[in-house]
Order: sequence, then C-alpha cells, then structure tokens
Amino acid sequence: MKKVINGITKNLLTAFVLVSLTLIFTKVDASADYVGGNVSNGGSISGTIKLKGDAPAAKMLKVDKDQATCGHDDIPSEALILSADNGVKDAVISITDITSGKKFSDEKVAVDQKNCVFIPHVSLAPKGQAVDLLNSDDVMHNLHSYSMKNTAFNEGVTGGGSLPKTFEYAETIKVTCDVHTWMTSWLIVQDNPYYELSDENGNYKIENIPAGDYTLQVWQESLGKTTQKVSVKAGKNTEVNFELAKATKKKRRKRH
Amino acid sequence: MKKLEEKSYVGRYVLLSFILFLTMLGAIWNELIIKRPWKFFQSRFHELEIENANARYEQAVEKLKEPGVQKEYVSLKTKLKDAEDNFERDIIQVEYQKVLRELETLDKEELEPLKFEAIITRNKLQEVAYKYGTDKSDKIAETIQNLEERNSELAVSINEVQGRREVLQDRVDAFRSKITAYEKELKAFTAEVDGYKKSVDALKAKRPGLQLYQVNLEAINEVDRCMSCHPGINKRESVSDEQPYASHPRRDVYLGNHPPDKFGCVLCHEGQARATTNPEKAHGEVEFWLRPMLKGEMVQSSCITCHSNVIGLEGAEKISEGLQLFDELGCFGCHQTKGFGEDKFTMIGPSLKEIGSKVNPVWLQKWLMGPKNYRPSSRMPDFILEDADAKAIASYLWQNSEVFDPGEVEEFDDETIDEGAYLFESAGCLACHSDLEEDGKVHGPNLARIGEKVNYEYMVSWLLDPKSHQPMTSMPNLQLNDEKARYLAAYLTTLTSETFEVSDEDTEWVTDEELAEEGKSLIGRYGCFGCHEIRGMEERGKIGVELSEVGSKHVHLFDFGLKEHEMLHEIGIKHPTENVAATRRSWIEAKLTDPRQFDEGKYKKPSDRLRMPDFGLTKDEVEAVTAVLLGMREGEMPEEYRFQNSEVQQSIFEGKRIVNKYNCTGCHQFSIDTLYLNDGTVLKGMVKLEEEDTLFFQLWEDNDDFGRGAGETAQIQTSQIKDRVYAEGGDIGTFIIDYHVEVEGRMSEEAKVFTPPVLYQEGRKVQSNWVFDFLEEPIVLRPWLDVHMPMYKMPSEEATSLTRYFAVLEGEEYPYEFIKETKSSYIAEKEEECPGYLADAMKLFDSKDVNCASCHVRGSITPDGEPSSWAPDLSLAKKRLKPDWIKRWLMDPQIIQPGTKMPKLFREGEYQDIFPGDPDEQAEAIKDLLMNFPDENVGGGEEMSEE
Repeated sequence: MKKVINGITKNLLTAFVLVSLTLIFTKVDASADYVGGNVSNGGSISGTIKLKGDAPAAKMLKVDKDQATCGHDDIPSEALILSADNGVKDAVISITDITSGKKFSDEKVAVDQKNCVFIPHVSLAPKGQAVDLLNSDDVMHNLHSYSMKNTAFNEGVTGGGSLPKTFEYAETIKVTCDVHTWMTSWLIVQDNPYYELSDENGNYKIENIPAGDYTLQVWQESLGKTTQKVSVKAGKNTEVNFELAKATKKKRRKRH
Repeated sequence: MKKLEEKSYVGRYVLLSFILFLTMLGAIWNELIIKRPWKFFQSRFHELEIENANARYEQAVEKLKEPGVQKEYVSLKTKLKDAEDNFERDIIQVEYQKVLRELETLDKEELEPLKFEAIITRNKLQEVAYKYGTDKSDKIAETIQNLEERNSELAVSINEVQGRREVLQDRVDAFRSKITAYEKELKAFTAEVDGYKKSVDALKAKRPGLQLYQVNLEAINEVDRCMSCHPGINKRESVSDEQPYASHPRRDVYLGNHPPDKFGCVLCHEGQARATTNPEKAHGEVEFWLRPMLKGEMVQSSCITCHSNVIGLEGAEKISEGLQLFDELGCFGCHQTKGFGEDKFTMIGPSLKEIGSKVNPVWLQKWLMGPKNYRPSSRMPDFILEDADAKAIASYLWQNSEVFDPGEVEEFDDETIDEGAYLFESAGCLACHSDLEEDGKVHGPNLARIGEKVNYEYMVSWLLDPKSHQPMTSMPNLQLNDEKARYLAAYLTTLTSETFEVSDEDTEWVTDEELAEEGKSLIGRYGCFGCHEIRGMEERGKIGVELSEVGSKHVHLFDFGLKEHEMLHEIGIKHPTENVAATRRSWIEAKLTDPRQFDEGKYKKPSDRLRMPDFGLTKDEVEAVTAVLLGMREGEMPEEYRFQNSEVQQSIFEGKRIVNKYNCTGCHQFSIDTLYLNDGTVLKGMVKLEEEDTLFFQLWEDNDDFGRGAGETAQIQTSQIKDRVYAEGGDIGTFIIDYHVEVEGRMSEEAKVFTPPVLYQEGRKVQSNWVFDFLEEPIVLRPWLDVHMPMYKMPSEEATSLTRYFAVLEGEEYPYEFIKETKSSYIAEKEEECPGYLADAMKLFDSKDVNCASCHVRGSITPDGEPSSWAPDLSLAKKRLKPDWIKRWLMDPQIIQPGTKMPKLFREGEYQDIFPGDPDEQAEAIKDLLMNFPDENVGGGEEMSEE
C-alpha cells in the first residue's frame, strides 16, 4: 500500500515537473509558431478600408535618372491610392493573434523592378518562405531593405538578375532602390496566413477563419496602423470596416 | 627600638616582591596581548573563515534535507539496497558466476592464445623482413607473404573473439548496472556537501599563523604592516562585511592593479602603516600624525599622485568627476594649480571686450547679481554682490568695451521665426545647445532665454564668425550665409522666459566714470580677469591661494574663524591636530559649500572680507572636488610607483580630451554597443529594436562563437544579457531621425543615412593627411546630409592630436604611411601581369550594371538627380581613403557600415564578360583604379561647390 502511494506521489511530481518545463518552454516560443491545418466550417471577415476626411492631391514622383529605361514622365506615387469614394488600395489587413487555422498558401512571392517601378508596390509573404527579388530592367538597381528584426541587405542586382531572400521574423519591411530614389516598395512578412491586401476599391475578404475572438489590424504606409476586435462565427461572415485618417505631424523634438 | 639585625623586612619584601611580580605579569600581558591586537584579529579571522565554511556546509546539508530532495535521496538509497539484495540472490549469483566463468574461459582459452600467436607472428615477420633486406630470395618473399596472410587471419579471429567477449562483458556488467548507476547518482547528491565538509575540516586542522605581515616599500622608506590586522583584505571571498576581516571592495580593480605585495596599503590609504599596537595608531588618527588614513571614496584622491591621466580610469569615478568639475568651473582661474590651465587654446569665461555690443546694461547688472537666476546651468558662480557693486562692475566693463547702439528692438514675422526655428534644428545647433530650459547645459550654454540677453545684430555677426568675436571659443563656424544667420538670430531673439519684458529702467549709470572707477577696484578684488579677458586688466595675476599642495597644507593655516569649535565637534575632535586629515577635509568641504561662512560673526572691513564666490555645488560635487584637492600633495611619488603612460595611451587620452573639448560626439558616433552574454560571448554591434524581454541586435563584427556574421541581425533574450555598454556619441542623430520620420514619414532605419557619419574605426578608413586637412578646412563630402561639418579652425596642434587619435586607436601607422597602389611600379607590374588592367577596371566601373558614376560625384562631374541622392566624390578617394579599406568596402559595404546606401555589387560569377575574375579580383581592380583615378575623368579638376 505504502509503495503504491509513493509511486503516485512520484508520478505526480514528475508530471508537475514536466508541465512546468513545458510551460517555461512554450512561454519562450509563444509567438513563434503558428500551426496550420484544415479548417472546417470557418467564418470570414470582409469590409472596406476608407480614408477619413478629404482626399489629398495625388503626388507625382520625378524621374531624374536613367530616363532611357525609366521614361521621361513623372510617375504617380503609390503611397496612397484612392478610389472615387475614398476606398484605400493596398492596405494590409491581418489577424494578429491567431495561433492555428488554415495552411499557408504555397504561392511564390516575387517583387519585380520594371521600368524603374517596384511591382507590386506592396507584397505579402509568410515568414521563412523565399521571396524572389527581381530586376527586369536593363539598368542596375540595388535592393535596399529597411528592417529592424530581419537582417537588412543592400545589394546591387544586374539587369535581368534576381536575388532570393528569406525572412526569419514577421515584420513590415521597406525596400528601396537607392539609385532611383523614387522607387519604394513594401514587403510585409506575416507569421500566420490570415492576411489580405485591399483592392482598388478598398475592399477585402479574409476567409476560412476558425470561430473565435481576434484582433484585426489594418496597416497602410501613409495612414499607419489601426486595430479592431472582431468576433468570428462559424460559417458566417462578419463585416469590419475601417476609416483611416492621415496622422497629423508632430512638431518639435524632445531631448532623450 | 629593635636592633637592626632583629628587625624584620618580610612584610616589605613580600609586598615589593608581589608588586614586582604583578609588574612582570603586566609586562608579559602587555607584551603578548595588549601590544599585539593583530593576534586577536587573525584568530578571529580564522574563526570567521571556519564559520563561513561551516555555514556553506550547513546550507548544503539543509538543501539535502529538503523533503523533496530527501525523498529522492531515500528512494535512491532504497533502490540501491533493493538492487544489491537482488544481486545477492542465489539464482542471480549462480547465473552471474556462470557468465563470469564463461568470460574467464574465453579469455584464457581463446583470446590469450590468439593474441600470443599474433605477437609471435609479428616478431617473425619483422625478423624475416630484416633478412629480406640483405637476401632478396623468392623463398624469403614467400615466407613473408605467408606470415602476412597468417597475421591478417589472426586479426580477424581476434576481432571475432573480442566481439563475443564484449557481449559477455555486457552481460556481466548488466548484472551490476543498476547498482553502479544508483551509486553514481547517490554520490552526485552528496558531492557538494562532501566538498564543503572537506574545506571545513581543512580549515579546522590548521591553526591561525599569528604572525606579523609586512611589506617593505623601500622607495618611500615605509614599512607597511596593515595586512597584519586585515588578513582577509586580498581574499577572493569576503568572510565578513566588516573590517578588519572583509576583503577589499572592488578588489579586482584596486588590488588586482596594485598588488599589495608591491604597493602595500599606505600608498593609497595613507595612515601610519608601521604601527601595530592599536588601530587608531595604525590608521594615523593620532595627534600630530600628518597623514591620517583616507577611507571610502576619498581614497581616490591618491590616484593623482601616481596617474597623470585619471579621467575615465576604472575605480577613479569620484576623482574623475572632481577633476572634470575643477576644470570646467575654472578653479585655476583664481588659484594657481599645477597641472591645470595648461591648454593655451582655451578660456574659462568669454572675453568681455565686446560686452557693450552684446548685451544691455540692465541684463548685465542682473546677471552679475546672480548668474544662476538667469541660467541655472551656468558655470559662472555667484559673487553675492550688492546692487551698487554690480552696477559699478557693469559700468567699468561697459566703458571698457566696444559699444554700439542696437537701436529699436526689431520685430520679426512668424515666417522668419519659423524659418529660423527650422534652421536651429537642421543646421546642427542641437548637437551642443538646447533651447529648452529643462535640458540644462548640453555642451554649449542653454539657449532657452538667449533672447533676453544678446542683441540681434551681435547675434547675427556671432553666428557668421564666432572666432572673430571670441578667438578662443570652441564654437565652430557653421558657414552660414548672411540670410541664414539672420533667420537663425531672429528665432533666437524670440527665446525668452514667459514673464520677460523689455526693461525700461534708467541706464544712465552705465556711463558714470566715477562709478566705473569703483567698479575697477571691485574687479581687482574679485579677480574677474582670472576667467575673463577685460580691457585694461590683461596683465593681472590670479588672486587666490595656490592649490598645488593644498592636500599637505598644515592645519594651523586653515582659518575656521569663529566656527572652529562647532566644526571640529562635528567630526568628533577638539583640536585640529588631533586628526589632521579630518580637519583638512572638513575645512575644504565647508569652504566649497559656503565659501564665505568663516567670516560669520566677525567684524571685517569690506575690503578684507572673504571673496570666493558661491559655485552652488551639490554635496556630491563638493566631495568630488575635495578628493581632488586632498590629492594635491607635496613631494613626488618615486618613479617606480608612478604609472607610465605609453605613447599610445597618451595619444588616446589627448585625443579624447579634444573630442570632448569640441564635442565631436554631439554629432558623430565614436563607438558601438557591446553586449556581454551570460555564456561569456561578447557581441559588438548596434541594438536595433528593444522589446519587452527580447532585443534585436545587428552585429558589426563577425562572431564565430555566436555563429553570426557582421551585418546580420540576431534576436537575443534580455535574460541572456549580463551587461551592456552603450555606443558613445551621435547625440544629434535622434533629432535628425525624428525629423525624417515625423515630417517625411520615413522609417527610422532609413532616416539614419541623414545623420552625420559614424566614426567607429575611422582610422582604418581614412589617410591621416587627409583627416588633418579636413579638420582644418572641411568640404562637403556627403551632399545628402542635413548637417555639414563646420569649420573649427582649431590650432594645428589640436588637429594633429585628433588625427593621431584616430590612427592610434586602430593601431594604424602614423604619421607616415606607404601607399604602394599610387606608385607607378605597382601599376606597371599589374599591367604586365594583365595587359589593359586599368582600362578593363574602368570598363567595369562604367558598365551599366556597376555604373559607379550613376551615384558618385567625380570632381566636377555630377550624377543625374537631386544632390541629396548623390554619393561621395570618387576623385577624392586616392587622397582620402586607405586602399585596404576601399577593397573591404567594395566586397561588402554592409559589413563595415550596416545600413549604408552603397550596395554590395560583386558576387561570384558576375561581370565575367567585362572583367573576368572572382569578387576579390574585381574589387581589387576597382580599388587600384580609384587609387589611380585618371584626371580626365574628373572634369578638368574644378573644385566642387560647397553646398
């Protein structure tokens, strides 16, 4: 009898140790791993991203170099593209706090430089997946990434060449070409597959989401970042609309 | 009366003997016990050592006794017992013995004979092989072959038997495997306890040595016996928190660098090191002892007796602070002090020869009555002047300076002021000045109320060329044009306190000549010319007492006035000579805290009163300056104790001094972040992003231990970091980055390119001659920057020191360096090896996929696009850059300067049709081209415009 009790205590003790160890380790990795699988009867979120207030005048970018390749005309800025009723194109909508759900799509992501413009202007890629950075022009472009978490790079790419890169951490990365200062693009590395880019009317739809409460985030390069809480019900669509305002610029510095 | 011979002296005899006996006892007691307190301390130290070891031992035992641990321990013991019992069981034993016997039989009957034969065969083989050397007959050859065959057969058999043997051995071991495992586990449980037990026993077995410990410091004729009472002072672990048993605080720094065997204790601590009869005597806290012991941070005062470069020295924090204050406050303006005021290119306060053009009389008078009322961060002390005295001094200064009438105060429209504010942020002013009161003094004066002080016209003229007004100012010429200077001055005149109003006070007194005469004698009394240049007083000397040996000054020379009793009472003595050091320190601290307090209660003529001004020092600052003063002692330390600076150390110290003087760190970053991880890894780079419990770190140097290369970013948990040292300098960078992030909407990483260049490892990059020239006459190298290098017009001695500093810091050659790439023989050799070398390199340079000229300026040829998108002038490279650096840079710019706009161009297998070779060869060729850049490529060698 005594032995049995001893055995139980010992097992409990081992179990406790194991559980605590697991807790410790999962804590460290908490944000690290999204688990993808099959989602049955998932819900969806859809809506529109709009600009609050008056639409600013469209900006033009001056082409002042390599005009033989890049053209002589000014290029319209893609920093904020609006539809007739102020729908915002190229806003990134994503769920920030989901840990399991559908699988990542295995679609290959590529960013091209053509006629001295990045195509597409905003790209989305899952972390850990190779992204092809290309140069279809007949001039040298350099690809200069600005990131805080992923190793930043700045490499020249010859005409027709390509530069495959993989990103370790989810992050919003700006990629520019320093030779042609008007060239800008954004690469948003995601740690889960629930993300979408708004279309030219500002519409988006994210599908196949397991029912639950989530935080939905929208980011746009000129309008910044906003979040909303959202409740997704099985098999149903939830509509979430965003109205983003251009942030007023802060004046004056503070000594740190 | 009894006869003499009948008289008994027994009583007296006994009494005297008794007294004699007691005296003897007393003498022995005194000799053995009282006069040797160190015996007691050493015994007690030994006890403490044992107590400590015991405590550790008991702690370990307690840990072992914890129910959880005990349970495991007991269960292990039971398991061991069970295993042993099980092993002893007959069935097992029978089986065990059987296997054991099998093993023995195998060894004896199979393995050993085989091994024996193998040895014999090998011997025979050797013998025959030797014979074959002299007689190469077929027969012998055949024998050799046979023997070799046999040999390999044997090897196979042995292998096979050994395989079987291993199986058997495993079976044998398996019988005892559990026992061995449990025994090992049990041993691990008690290993710690056993270890401690051993050290306790070892300590107990030893008796304390009880001996006098002394160091003979021959050079200063001193015997140091301090460690006789402080036996634990140089022990790694402290047995107590209290002296005389504790080990030395920060032992590694203090004793590690000054081993007591060589330096003793007295060299730093002073005291009467020879004395051993009681602590007071040993510490020199006895009457008339001239050098009583220094304790706590005050010991740092001794640093300056041996070290000439103390600022920044580890362990000398307090005195470093004091030295900096002493220098900054300009104590040597009034007090002659050896080693201070030696920089002939600097001034303490500004020259007052133009004061009449710069400020208005009302401001001047108010300033004199309390500089800190106007600017709390001012270095100028308060002379505690009466209204009339201040007016008198102001009128003298006024009448002895250039005066011009500023006329009506101008009003500026908002647009002008905004333009000025923009310039204030973008011209680089923020590197040294702040316009917010709460920021205090940054490097130059705080400008929050500058509009109350300086006339607009003077300000404009000052901004255009500060040195024409103050030849010794460290403010550089920002190379502004008149228009910009006017915008900036307009903005500055708007900087006033909220309550400020233009005064309409009568200022006629300022031209009163009689008043000025009075002012002249007051200036003479207060010695204003010690810090300021004043017309008509250029030749006057310093008015204060010399401080060069104040640390040894006799106490009777310190005048406490009527406060002597009170102040000495506070430090627990009655007469100054009772503790000379304490008295000296107490007087100096009182003087620094409230310089005129010794006049209190006395009647004195105004001209005899104390005149030292109030510097408004905090208690901490008073202590720091006191430490400096106590260290200024008479006599010189013998050579062998003085720290000898190497030439390199001296150059670095001097360079740092100049970097501080001109506040180079206000704009330039000089070093990078260092992270010390728990596992001993040291990472060099920059922290890019800090999150709650993790940070992202960009390495600037390869790190094999860490498995990451330069340029890579790694995530590091904050819990892994033991210590970190932050990068120094680049203060203005934050403002520039903020501006580009908030106004232009850039990412902060992107905005970094607009900040002044990082000068980390600059010495590896630039040629010394070029640095020197650039310091003397800067040019615009990076057209995209917001802020450009201003003109310092520093004396060439200082420019030389700074240039040497950059070179020496990186172990580079200085001042001369042979650059082979620019010599014709070098190129001739390359051309011979590979005809058309430079022409091919030029093709690569021009090729559309490299196209250096697409971004880089070449003399007067500029690239397309805005100047803000251009890159540095390549025609300067051969005079400016070191060839090795150019090549490293071309191979991978991101490794040298992560984030630079310069891309990595050369990768394996590219540009083979233009310049065949690997990236190393291609980079080498471009480097050689740049070092021999043809003149026709730079557009006739016209100078590039400055802006």
